Amino acid sequence: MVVFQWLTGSFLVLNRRASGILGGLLRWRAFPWAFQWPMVGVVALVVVLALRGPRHSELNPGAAIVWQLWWAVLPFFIVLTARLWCAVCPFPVLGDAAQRLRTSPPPLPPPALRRVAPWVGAVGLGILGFLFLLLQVETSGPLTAALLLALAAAAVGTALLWQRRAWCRYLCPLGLMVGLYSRLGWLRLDAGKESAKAAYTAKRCPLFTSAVAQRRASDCVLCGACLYGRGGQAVEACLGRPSLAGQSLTPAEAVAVSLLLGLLLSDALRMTPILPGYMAWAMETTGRSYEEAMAVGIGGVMAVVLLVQAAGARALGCGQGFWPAFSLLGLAWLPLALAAHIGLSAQHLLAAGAVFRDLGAEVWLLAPGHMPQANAYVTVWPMRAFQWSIVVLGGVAAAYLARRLAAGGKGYEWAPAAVLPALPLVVVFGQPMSTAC
Amino acid sequence: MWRWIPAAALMVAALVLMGCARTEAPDSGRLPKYAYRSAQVLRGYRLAVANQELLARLPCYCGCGQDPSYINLRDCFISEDGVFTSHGANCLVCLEQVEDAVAWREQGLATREVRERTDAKYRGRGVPTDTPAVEE
Repeated sequence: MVVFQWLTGSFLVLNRRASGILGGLLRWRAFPWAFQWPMVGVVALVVVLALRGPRHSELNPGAAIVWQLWWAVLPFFIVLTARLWCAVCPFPVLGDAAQRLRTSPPPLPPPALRRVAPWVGAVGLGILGFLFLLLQVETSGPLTAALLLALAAAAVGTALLWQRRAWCRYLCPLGLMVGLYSRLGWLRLDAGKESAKAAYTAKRCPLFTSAVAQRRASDCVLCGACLYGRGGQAVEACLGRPSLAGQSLTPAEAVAVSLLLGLLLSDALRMTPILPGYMAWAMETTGRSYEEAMAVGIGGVMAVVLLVQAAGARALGCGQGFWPAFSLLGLAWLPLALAAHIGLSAQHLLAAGAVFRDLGAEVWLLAPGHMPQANAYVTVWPMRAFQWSIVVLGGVAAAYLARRLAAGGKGYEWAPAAVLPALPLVVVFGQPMSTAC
Repeated sequence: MWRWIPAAALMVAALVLMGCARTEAPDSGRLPKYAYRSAQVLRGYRLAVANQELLARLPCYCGCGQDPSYINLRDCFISEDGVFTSHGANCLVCLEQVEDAVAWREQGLATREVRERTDAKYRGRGVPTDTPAVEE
């Protein structure tokens, strides 16, 4: 009992301190641009390194920094800080600068855009992820640089067309993904009991949301703009256990969750001996090219996951309609998607160690060269145990959430479809994975 | 609930079956499964099968020279006794060397010139294999 009290007491003290530090950071006048402008410099350097380095990521510092480090750290960062990455993302600050160059302020995003945008984001996420896996962007310096430049151009172009950060709120596919995962993040801005005062902050939010909006977990980037001026004192940074039970997804967001799960499953398959087995079979039996067989494989996995979600929604619906049930199932799958992403990121971080060791040898000639593993599928067992456990945990969380949502008394039934995507993920993460992609 | 079990079982069985191993030799006309890891690996193995004589005259600079069983670049893809080896599937240096060597050969360069270019580009990257010099 004493130990329990000590543990919980320590956690509460730690939580208060962390909330204080993060709250102080968000209230700092120089936040977030003091981080954004240096990040612009970092991204510019990464683009130069990606373009000037060797073609492939094993020896390309630009691609290695983006995919082995940033992309791998991102899901862990989201769990702790929700959408805080979007606050320090360098692309919107370029858009802000471009907006200031206009003689008159751009108009608000039209209602039609706000209606269509979630679907644009979801389809954009699917296409971007599909092309990422098909073209193996993470192994290519020039493609990595092209992707970064395209995102910067899209952010600037959208900022010239519409007010504030319409790109981040409505169109950015990565923002959509981070926003979905942020529902499971611990950090949030909350108005508490003074929501009436905090409602005034909506006019200042660059993402057209506020600390009292129901969707703040996915739309708020924690930039701190709402903390100043009228109503700002009512808003506070809070750290706490997330809860999905009171939340909901739009149909477009539910489709995005399904596409994400399909992409994550394809990515995991790519790192196991299963992919070469499929490719050998597909190419030898159909005579198609590598790219065609790969496209069919990735598209097939994504389509199967989407169909499973649709079939599950039909079973779950109980007369409430297809889309509400589809969205509910997407919400239940969210912990599983985040768990799979963390499992894959852990593998990328493991690979990062080897990549940066080799890059160090290349750049500073610390070693005469590396001796690649005879079988790159062999990896350390604690990593495999961690990956497998985190995916199992994600599946359990999905099942628990589905049951809680069903018990919410809205006319839905518990459906086994809530855990169905966990089964192939558990099998795939049980396979030996490559440390180099 | 029961209607989901066959679908799940089918999916799991398909994934497990796809992971089964296969051993091939270059003269069988089929490549080993690990050669299908990526488009670049597949291209590398295809080029290695088609240019075995050239690769046997070139050193490999990936660092495999530390292992005395590696004598030349061909050994990273096909062993001396004519069996595919998986080393090339996991080494981007080997793959880039093969791509460069074949591209230079297609430009009309003689084996000695390809060797000189390989040495000039990759020297210092890793311990090279102890490949005899090209006399012609």
